[in-house]
Amino acid sequence: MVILVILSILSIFLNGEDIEYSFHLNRKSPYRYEPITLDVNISQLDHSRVMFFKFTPKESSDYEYHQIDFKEDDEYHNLKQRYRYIIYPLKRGRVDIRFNMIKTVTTDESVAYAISGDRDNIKSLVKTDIKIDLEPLLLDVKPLPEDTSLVGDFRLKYNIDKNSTKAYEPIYLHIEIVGDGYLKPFNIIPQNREEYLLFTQKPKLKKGSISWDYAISSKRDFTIPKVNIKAFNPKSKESYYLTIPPTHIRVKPIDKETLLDKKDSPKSAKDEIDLSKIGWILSYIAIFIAGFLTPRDILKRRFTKRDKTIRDEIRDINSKKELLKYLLSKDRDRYEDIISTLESAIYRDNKIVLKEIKEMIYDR
Amino acid sequence: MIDKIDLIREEIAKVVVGQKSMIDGLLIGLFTNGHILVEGIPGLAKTTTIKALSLALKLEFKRVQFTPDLLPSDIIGAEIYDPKDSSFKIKRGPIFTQLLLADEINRSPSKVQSALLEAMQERQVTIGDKSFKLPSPFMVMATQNPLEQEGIYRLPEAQLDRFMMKILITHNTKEQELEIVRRVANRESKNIEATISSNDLEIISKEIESVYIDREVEEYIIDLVTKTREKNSNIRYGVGVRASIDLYRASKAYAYLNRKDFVTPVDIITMSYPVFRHRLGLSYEAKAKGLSCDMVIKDIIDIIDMP
Repeated sequence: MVILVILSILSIFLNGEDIEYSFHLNRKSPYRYEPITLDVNISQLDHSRVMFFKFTPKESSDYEYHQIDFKEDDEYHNLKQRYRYIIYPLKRGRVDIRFNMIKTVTTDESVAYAISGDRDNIKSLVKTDIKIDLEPLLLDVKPLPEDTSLVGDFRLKYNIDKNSTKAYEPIYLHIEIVGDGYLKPFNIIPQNREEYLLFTQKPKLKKGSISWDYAISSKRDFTIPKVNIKAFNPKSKESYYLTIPPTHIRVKPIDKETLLDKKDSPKSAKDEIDLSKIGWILSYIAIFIAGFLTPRDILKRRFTKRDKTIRDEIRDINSKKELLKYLLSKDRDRYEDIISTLESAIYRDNKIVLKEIKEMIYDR
Repeated sequence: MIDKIDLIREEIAKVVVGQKSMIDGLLIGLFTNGHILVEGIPGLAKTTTIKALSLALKLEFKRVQFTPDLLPSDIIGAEIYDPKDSSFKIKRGPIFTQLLLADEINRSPSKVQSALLEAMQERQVTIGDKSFKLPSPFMVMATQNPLEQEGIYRLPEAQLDRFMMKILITHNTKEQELEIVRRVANRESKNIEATISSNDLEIISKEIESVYIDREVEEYIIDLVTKTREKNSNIRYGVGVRASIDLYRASKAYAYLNRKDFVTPVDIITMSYPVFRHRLGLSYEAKAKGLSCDMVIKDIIDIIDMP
């Protein structure tokens, strides 16, 4: 940490004394692909005016940058902005980091007028944009050891789901590199060889990790080749290797006999008559006839049964009370006098002959 | 005293042809302090009958036509500001009568229907913070029209339970219809005379109370009521305790009207239809089968042995 502070470079510039800006680099001579942090502070000194700043590093093939923080004291007349970037130098030797910066000057009245509009009445801000020319920051980038593929502190994890399979049945391979450092997508397993077929996906790049998913199939035994990636850790200034040993996969051959159908499926229509269809047709006809006949039968029975059943039912009744209940249930108004007679017979002990009462009912 | 009932019938028959079940229902309700719900199509002499009854019994009669915009205060009355002496005065509504015809009760929303609840059950009315006793006897005869399904508000179960009986009235017979046509053609107008006094009403009520009912017959009432509450695929909910009480009283009154001094199961069976039919909740299955409440009641009567 102490070394980091010592290596920090402080640059302060003044621009006509109305703004102040400074740059802090934590390292001026990094290795290629080694991350360095850049802090930029921009402050307004002339508090009599309203100012806005636009600041960004210029795009370049010599380096790659990512903004990781931004803070602003959002006060009119006293604007302060703080930016933090991570910068990866992409080439060795001298690298110039250049910047775009615009200072916008306006007044309180202009700002008030501009924000007084609404959705349908947009008012532009009357302002003056002044381009600030900033001197580039110089980096002296050190080269990497030979054959280095990765820069940073990484670990490698991998997983093969099985080490034997059937012909043309794929095995799945997952590889993941995790750690701190510069990561870009690249192919880790050699593309198709004669001995196997490789199915690939795009590598999944996340913050601090990159992973690959492969499916590999073959008709005969094959070997997943050894993976040996040389990496360099700029903190310890040491090279190391991330390795996957060669893995032999046994492939069981296919019994061709099992692959062939020995029966026609579906059966050929020419060969025989499908009796099940005749059964279906007959059952449909039977249901249709039943559906046609049933309501006719029900209606017929309903209209022919009525009077016959009343006579039959009364004939089967053996007590006065039973007959009284039957008549009450059947048609109270029609048999009102008979009900009254039966009621008197049952509850007042008036004497009547059941047979005679039944005859009275039949006569109705 | 039973002969006087025949006189009442005769007086009513001067203006109403047929409709025996409605007239009997009204008399039973009047003698046993019950309220009657009548369902039938228009033009079956519902209003004429109750008006004739009020004249024959010399009772005060009022009619309220229920409409969708009717308010509870239109029935029970309200406190009205009197600017002369800057005070509120009670204006009594048409409910302060002895016979009230609530015509087409299901034309008004439930808040208006509920305004009748207190009057029917407690026989008193509360206006503002004051309660008023209603005159005695007090009977509500409500009518509802089954054909007019549009724009009606179904009576809630609590309201229905307050009615002792629901009477279904149908068209007159051919002979009765002919008699009606002749009377109208001849412009016959007969005056109805008061046949009994309020004192006679009290005596009849007491005589009805004294009609004998055997223990076995009492148990038959309870058997019928409890059977409606048992699990039955056609019934969603059975009848309540008010049904037991009303069936008991109605059976006694029906026996009395038929000149009997004791109740038989025939009276109970006859009265069970009007007492149960508006209280029984039919299941979806029963409605799908096209069953009516009367059909389900008949099934229940068939199941239970008559004493």
